[in-house]
Amino acid sequence: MALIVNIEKRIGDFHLKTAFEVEAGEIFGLLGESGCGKSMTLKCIAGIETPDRGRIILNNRILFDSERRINLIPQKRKVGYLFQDYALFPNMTVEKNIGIVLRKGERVQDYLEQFYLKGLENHYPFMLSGGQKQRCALARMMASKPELLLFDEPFSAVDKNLKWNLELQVLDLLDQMNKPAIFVTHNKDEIDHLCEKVGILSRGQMKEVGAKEDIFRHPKTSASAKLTGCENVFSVDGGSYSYVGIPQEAVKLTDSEADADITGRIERIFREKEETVLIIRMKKRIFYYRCQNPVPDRGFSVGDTIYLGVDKKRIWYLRES
Amino acid sequence: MDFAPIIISLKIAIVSTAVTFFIGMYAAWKTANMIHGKGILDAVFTLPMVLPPTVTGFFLLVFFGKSSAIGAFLSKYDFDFVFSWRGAVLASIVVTFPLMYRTTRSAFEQLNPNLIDAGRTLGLSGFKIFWKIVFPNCLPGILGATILSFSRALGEFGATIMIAGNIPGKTQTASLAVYTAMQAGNRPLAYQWVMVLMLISFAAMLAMNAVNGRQELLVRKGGGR
Repeated sequence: MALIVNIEKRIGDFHLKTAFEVEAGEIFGLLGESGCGKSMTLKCIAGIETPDRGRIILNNRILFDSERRINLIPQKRKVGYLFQDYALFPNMTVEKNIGIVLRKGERVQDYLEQFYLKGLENHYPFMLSGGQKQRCALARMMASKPELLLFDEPFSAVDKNLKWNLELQVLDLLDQMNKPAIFVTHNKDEIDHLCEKVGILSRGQMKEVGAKEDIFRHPKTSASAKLTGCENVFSVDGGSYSYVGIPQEAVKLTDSEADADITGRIERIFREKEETVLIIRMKKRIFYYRCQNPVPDRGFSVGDTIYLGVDKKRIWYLRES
Repeated sequence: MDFAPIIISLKIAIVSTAVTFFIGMYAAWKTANMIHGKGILDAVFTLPMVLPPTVTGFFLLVFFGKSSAIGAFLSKYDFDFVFSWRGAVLASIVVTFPLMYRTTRSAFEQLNPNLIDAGRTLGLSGFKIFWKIVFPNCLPGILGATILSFSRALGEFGATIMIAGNIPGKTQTASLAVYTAMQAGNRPLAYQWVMVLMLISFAAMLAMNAVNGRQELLVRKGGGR
């Protein structure tokens, strides 16, 4: 394994506990809601924060080991960190931003060419577009010759058109080099595009680690189900499982109450481009039903009673963790 | 007109500001990154700002007076602080240190912490991070702090008169000259020094506003938190 992480850190009430491994050339996606400890995990790996306990090993080099009292400073870890705001030095031009990292005998020109920054050498960061900023930050990160790349929600503050462009830039870079990378986000689509392996982080705890396809198709914990986009996750008293998740594929409209597993009243209707989303009030719960457009002829209106059938074979039985 | 008081004032202000510039900035950088004990150190560093200058002067006399161990030791090597130009510089340093320290610290705290962390992950040394990233991005704030310290040093009265006295041509600064002129009933001379001091202070505040505007601009361009 190129990277082995097993760390614990306590900050007040918050308890971070994560363990995962990443192979060379693999992009590991850390998926979690904001404040779940994703960024803290990256900062511990980069050496910006210090865990209370555990080990971090990169290509057989020990970066951190609490038992052996090893804690390398960030400068010696060879870990590249792409910040959400890119953290370009505002007082330096593109050329200087990259140049300050290079050692004697290395040429800024090579990086300017590789990252399509020619002609922007003398621009200051505030003069750059979002895509150019990211290319500059990527070039600067690569100039430090990292053995591991960390991406801290790089696309979360940009609009959709730019997002595609940025995702492609990152994918191009990662394809070229055979190094492990960790990508942190709260957006399942970004994980879907970029990563092969996923870890689900919720309130500081790693709930599930595995191949993206497995976790996206059949999550095993309530946190994974919610984070991978399932809107209908309910707590139940079920012995070996404590939640059920009902994916949209398991639900279909029925006409009679006799066939219905779910009966409720339509409370709100959102008409989206591809789907119509119905917010259905059941006795105590809210159920989200996505109906592919076009909707059935009789249509829906607020206040109607609606009957839904659930294919029980396709229900997910979920654990807390 | 005797220019001695303003020359002495400027000399003291320039030397003490040069010293305060470095020690104030160093203290600010160290405490800005501290996790434990920040509050206590901050209180100690800020104390000379809120203490009456006469009290500061009193403590300086206690520590550096001829009857103290340090004072006696320094006196052997002809390095006296009492009734000397050096004493006035020392008093100015102590009184202006909190201004330099607090103003630069707030500039450091406004800086986007990711810039420093990015520098560290990119392998830059602490020295490089400070002088190539932190210092230039906080420069307007640091300049403002320096101007503030300089103006304060120029107007220093209480602590200076306690330790350095009021010796014409030696330790009599412009602000002490105002006091002496009034005591002697020489109003025209007092007015003259008042005008000089007011002009310098006003120019300093104008310069201060100019650099403050630049700090805000820098922060907007991505240097800020």
